[in-house]
Amino acid sequence: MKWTKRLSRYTLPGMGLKWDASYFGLLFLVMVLVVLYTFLHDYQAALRALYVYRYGTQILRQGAVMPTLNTLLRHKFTVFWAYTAFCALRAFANYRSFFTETKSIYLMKRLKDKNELSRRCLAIPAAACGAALILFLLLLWLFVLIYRNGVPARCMPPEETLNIWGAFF
Amino acid sequence: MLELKNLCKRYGQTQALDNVQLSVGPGEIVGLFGENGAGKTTLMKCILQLILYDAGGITLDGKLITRQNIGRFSFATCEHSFFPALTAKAHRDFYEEHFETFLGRRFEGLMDFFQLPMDKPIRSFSTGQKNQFEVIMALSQGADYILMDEPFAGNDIFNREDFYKVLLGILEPHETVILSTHLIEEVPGFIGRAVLLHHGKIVGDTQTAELDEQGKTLMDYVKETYSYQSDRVSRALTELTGKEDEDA
Repeated sequence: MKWTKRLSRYTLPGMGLKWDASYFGLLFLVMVLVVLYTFLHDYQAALRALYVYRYGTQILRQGAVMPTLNTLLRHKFTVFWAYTAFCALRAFANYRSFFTETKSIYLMKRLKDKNELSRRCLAIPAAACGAALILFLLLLWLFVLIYRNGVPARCMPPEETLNIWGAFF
Repeated sequence: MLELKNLCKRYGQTQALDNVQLSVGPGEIVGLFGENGAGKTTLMKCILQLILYDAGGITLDGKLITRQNIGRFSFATCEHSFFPALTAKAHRDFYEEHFETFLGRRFEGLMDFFQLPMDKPIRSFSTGQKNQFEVIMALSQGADYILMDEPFAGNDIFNREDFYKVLLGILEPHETVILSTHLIEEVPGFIGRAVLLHHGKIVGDTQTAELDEQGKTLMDYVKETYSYQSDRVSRALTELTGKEDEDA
């Protein structure tokens, strides 16, 4: 009970955490599904291309090489920018909410603590952005594990440094 | 002491405040009157630093108004400044957290007197109840200067009467009220001083006791100051209908 009261200091007055949690939770879920689907789809396709099927069995093609992890990851995390845009929109909507229905902005501007307004508008969207970034690093780690353990050793391409930025842009 | 010196504010081509000079001391109850657009709301918003003024200065006990002393002002506005989704109880908690001077007993007493529910979001209140709540919060903040901008718009006459009585009963000697209203006939018993604004200028400033001594009512003073022409309506009717007004 105490921690929810504490956390409510970072939300819009009267809105509580539930609303923010459901808004960002849904966005989070959509984002994870998009990233997982697009990566696993390409990964599966590339893996399948390593094999040929003869008499119902799959045989590794002669000289087949798996695309690099950087190639498979390219553009996969661009959804993060859409998410960031949603977070920014949310922060703006939070600010606008102090002007809708009533002018509670008048009260916010009379508070001694000048950070109260920015905290209530920005804290949750910023935390959601930070959480998304951590999630992406975890997903990246998961993809590295899948790639390292799933690709046959013979088909591994020459090693190259992991290009994280390529996934985001 | 709240002091406004040569305060000027312009909105585009409109001069909202024109060299306003005003001093309001502790314990005064000031009525601020003027036609729509006279500058009453602008004046209050300038005092509260809600809008920037173009020239002049505002000081409170000789100091500029900053975040450090802004808590000495409270504001009840017809636009409402409460959080609509928050309950009265949660408002009390919020105010207690942000205003060390918050008067919990006064808050409870007024909520009780006006029979407002503590556990319902304020958005579910009627317009009259919302106005009451707005004023209750302004009175309970523990501010030295209570600014009210048309706080009773939408409240019935009995309700407004109750408020004036309660206000006079609960105000401490150091608490100052600046009340902007069009309800001139209702406030003479409540205010001690009347300030008249016209086109952003102060055109009248008098103590109500002085008016009493002169045998004038506040309404007389207002009409006199604004050079109100009592035959204006009959002349207009004559022009519109082409008939002489029989009462005129």
